[in-house]
Amino acid sequence: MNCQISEAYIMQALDGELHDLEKAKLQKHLKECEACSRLYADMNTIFDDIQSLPEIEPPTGFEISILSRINAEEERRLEKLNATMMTIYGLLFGGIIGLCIYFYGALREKTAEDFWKMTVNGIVHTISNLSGLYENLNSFQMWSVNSWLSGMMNVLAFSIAVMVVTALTLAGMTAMRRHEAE
Amino acid sequence: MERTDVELIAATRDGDQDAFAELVSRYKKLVYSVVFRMLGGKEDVNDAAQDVFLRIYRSLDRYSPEFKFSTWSVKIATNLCLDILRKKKPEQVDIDEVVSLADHGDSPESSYIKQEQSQLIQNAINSLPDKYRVPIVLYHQQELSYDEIAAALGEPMSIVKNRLYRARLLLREKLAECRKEGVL
Repeated sequence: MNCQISEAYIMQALDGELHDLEKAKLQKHLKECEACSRLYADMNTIFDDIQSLPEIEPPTGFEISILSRINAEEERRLEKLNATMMTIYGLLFGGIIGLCIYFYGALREKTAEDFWKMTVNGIVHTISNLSGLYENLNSFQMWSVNSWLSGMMNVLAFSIAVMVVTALTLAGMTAMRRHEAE
Repeated sequence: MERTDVELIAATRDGDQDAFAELVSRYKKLVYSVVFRMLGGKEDVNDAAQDVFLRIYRSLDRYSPEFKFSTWSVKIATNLCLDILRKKKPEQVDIDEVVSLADHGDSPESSYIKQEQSQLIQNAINSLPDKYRVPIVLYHQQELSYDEIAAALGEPMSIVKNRLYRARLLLREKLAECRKEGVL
């Protein structure tokens, strides 16, 4: 056996992959070769020692740092969640207002054939009623104001209801998250 | 009575942060040691070890009690360290860094430098380039199989075997160097 093969055998021995016959061959070589014998001894010592290296103690305050990082992360997540919910409710709210305007337009035209047309109608009627209300404060047509008012009252009531539900849901969710975090 | 790991994990999932602090206390030495050895003391070990526990916290829902919590934590720590090592710039090995490791301990509890022999070996391991240090740590300290190491590193087994072969010889050389410097 030459030293190159012996080196490979030593590595296999470290892996526990050496058969009896190979072990015997290696032992024979180790007796004859000082360099390989030293390598074998060194390898065994090093890798025995490596397994028994002591564990390392982290710096003091390790747990506290982790918990505060977790809390900061939760806080950020909560803020992001709130922002997302706000956006969703905002879109919902806008959609409902849009629908109200559409229905108002449709009501005034007594037909509901085209969504966008009716929505534009709703806006036009609202604005013209507003300006009409302003211009004809003394001699305004009662029916026009009445139907505009009832339309707007519906929109307003709807909006307030949506806002209340939004606020309550958001407050509830925030409280629940806080409670969980604690 | 002391709660088991599984109980602590369940409590953490229910929002009990003290339970998680208890888990951290139990496994901080293990995780910190894995991170320290994987990174070779060259990167910010403390930050990385904290990151490991943050990742553990976030993944607790996916923890399955059929594995030991320690095994699972070590796996997460190992993967995170491999990520860090992959992302970092190509290294320059500087022997001065290795020697300065002796006073790495910035806390009074740095008991890991108690034994001169352990310290020498640790310094020698740390002085190895990443590609040789990582297989040594995974195979000889974490006792992963060649298969597992190949999977973790995404390298073929033949490369892993060759690298470990080379790493062992290199470690022996480094250890001899470190001994010489210790004597000087």
